[in-house]
Amino acid sequence: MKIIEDAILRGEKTLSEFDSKKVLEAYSIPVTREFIAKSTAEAKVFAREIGYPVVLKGSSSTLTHKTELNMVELNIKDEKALEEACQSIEERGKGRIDGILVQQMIRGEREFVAGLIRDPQLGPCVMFGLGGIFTEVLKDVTFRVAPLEMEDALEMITEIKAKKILDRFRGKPAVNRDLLANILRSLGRIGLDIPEIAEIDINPLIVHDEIPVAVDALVVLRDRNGDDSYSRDGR
Amino acid sequence: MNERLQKFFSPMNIAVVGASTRNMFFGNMAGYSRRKGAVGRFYPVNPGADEVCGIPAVPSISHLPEHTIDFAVVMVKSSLALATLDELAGRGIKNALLISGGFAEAGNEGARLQESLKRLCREKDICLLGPNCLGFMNVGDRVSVFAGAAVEGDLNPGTIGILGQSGAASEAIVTKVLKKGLGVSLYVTTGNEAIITSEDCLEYMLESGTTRVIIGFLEGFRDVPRMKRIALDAARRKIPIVLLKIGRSEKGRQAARSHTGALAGNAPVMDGFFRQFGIIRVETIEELVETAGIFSRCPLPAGGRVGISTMSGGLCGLYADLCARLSIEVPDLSPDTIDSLKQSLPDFAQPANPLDVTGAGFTSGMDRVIKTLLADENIDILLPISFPPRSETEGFVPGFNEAFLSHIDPAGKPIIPITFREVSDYARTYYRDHGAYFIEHAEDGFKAVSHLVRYAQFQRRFGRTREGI
Repeated sequence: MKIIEDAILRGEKTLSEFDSKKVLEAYSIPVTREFIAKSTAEAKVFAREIGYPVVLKGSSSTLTHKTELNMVELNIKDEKALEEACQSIEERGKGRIDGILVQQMIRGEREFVAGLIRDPQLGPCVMFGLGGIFTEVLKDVTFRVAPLEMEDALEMITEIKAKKILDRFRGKPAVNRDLLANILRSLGRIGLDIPEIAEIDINPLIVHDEIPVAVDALVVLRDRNGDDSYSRDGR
Repeated sequence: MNERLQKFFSPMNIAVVGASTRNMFFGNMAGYSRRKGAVGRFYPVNPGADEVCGIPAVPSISHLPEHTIDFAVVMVKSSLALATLDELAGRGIKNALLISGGFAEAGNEGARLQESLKRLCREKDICLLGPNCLGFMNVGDRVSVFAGAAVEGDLNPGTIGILGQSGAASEAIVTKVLKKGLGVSLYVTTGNEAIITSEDCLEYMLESGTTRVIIGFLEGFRDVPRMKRIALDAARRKIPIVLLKIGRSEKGRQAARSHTGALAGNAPVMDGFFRQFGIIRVETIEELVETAGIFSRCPLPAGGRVGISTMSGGLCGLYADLCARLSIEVPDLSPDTIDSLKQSLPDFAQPANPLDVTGAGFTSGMDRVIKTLLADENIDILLPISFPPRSETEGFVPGFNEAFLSHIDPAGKPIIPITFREVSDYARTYYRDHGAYFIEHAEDGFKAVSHLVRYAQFQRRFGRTREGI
């Protein structure tokens, strides 16, 4: 994949959020609509195209914790708010960002995480779990080894302790499990197809009505110089 | 490998180099060989004794009879092990068990020694079990070179294969399995696995034809892709593999690493792998043993819906709660079943699932109740309460147990009695003679039922999706 080859040539260890989602999109994983704006004027054009409200984020392949760095502005409702947000992100991100990501705002109360890791013994493994701010504390996650059959993915989804939020929840329809399962299967396929990818994080994967959408994503590339702990990937 | 292992696990004339009375190893081995029906003859090798544990000894390997010995047990100091194996190989004895410790489990120097051991075995074509293990017990063929002490109970041949990397922990398992009246095919401890690995033993058990359930205590797999193939082969043969695998807590992982140097694996990742490939993972020795028992005697159910009958409302509630906690489905009875039960039970009984047959219910008509429950299309597995008899003359109510035991059918719905009180050795044999396994302690027993349900579900799915792989 060209995005990955280019990033490797540039010596980067991770892909930007924008490029990470391009990889996911190529495997039919639903992602937010988004563009990278090089100026406030451009950001306005994109925001109009996507439709308010939007999210703005500082874009870079080196910033992996944008929220902690205060590089995310949520729920921007109009042009005035957009101008202010652009200005403040540009100030805070000076020298560290190469553009502003203008992104569709996904509303949903159910947040999950999904991802790909490479286990030294089992090779590429897909992760699914409960998302949100308590993800790290609750560690309500489950794994499967790639490739995933449809039934593996469906079974895996029901293994989390919080599985009840997959059903009808606070007036929202049940999560579309087939779509969710296909996202997990796609992650497994990426792991098998693209050895240059070490890990993927989709966090959060927000359910809008019944459709899970990758709202933030990070693709971690293999470290080519350091010791390659992923060499025994079981294939 | 498997033809070789077949010979390996059925030795007849066994040299034991380093046999002495200074430790219990040979004494234990000789003890098992004196049990009724045991085969296999020992030739202790000891330079300073004419006999060991009453068995005539020879002073050195060169004094062993020509062309007779087909197996050697080596229990000398680790520093002498290589020379001993080399000498045995020179006499054409190339199947060997190395009990001694002091190899990969014992630091860098031990690890280097194990590398030399591996090289020697490969050069001289020595098939080696160990080092740092307790040997094996081929219960099916009645020959044992097991050096542990704790195995009690009759050595019943049967269909359960037992595999342990750790000698002592698996010894605890085999003891409980035999005490439950269950039958064992082959019990192997693999230790440091210099040559013969757990994976080799699993493959051998799968292909042996006598093993129908495999249980194991493992600290890690060395060859995961091969483990995948083994799991798929086991699934095709419908042989469940049940593993007690440590490595869930940090402490557990440390214990695993220092013991055999294997990777314990990332617990949730390994759990996912196990589920995907139909390997059942259990948490305790008791759960492992109960699961082995149920798999060895019960057919796979067509679904996961459980019917329960007791003679107490309190027990009904207790078991219903336990099922809810373990995600075991306890469905409503069909209207036909309820009608029919109303006719069989006293007027005040309220037919439901779990079913309270009431105090009056078990004095008569139990047979009709059981038949009705078994006929209910909502029920895939029946768990009737049972009174384990203490002796031939002391049943509880005549005919009560027979009401369900007479319906045990290897091609029908699984019937697994829940025992109302302590199970005596007599009762264990009684259930076994009826082809039934029993739930002795509800927690472990119901967990075992949930494994049976899950495995049957895996098998149905496997038949649909993975058969062609």
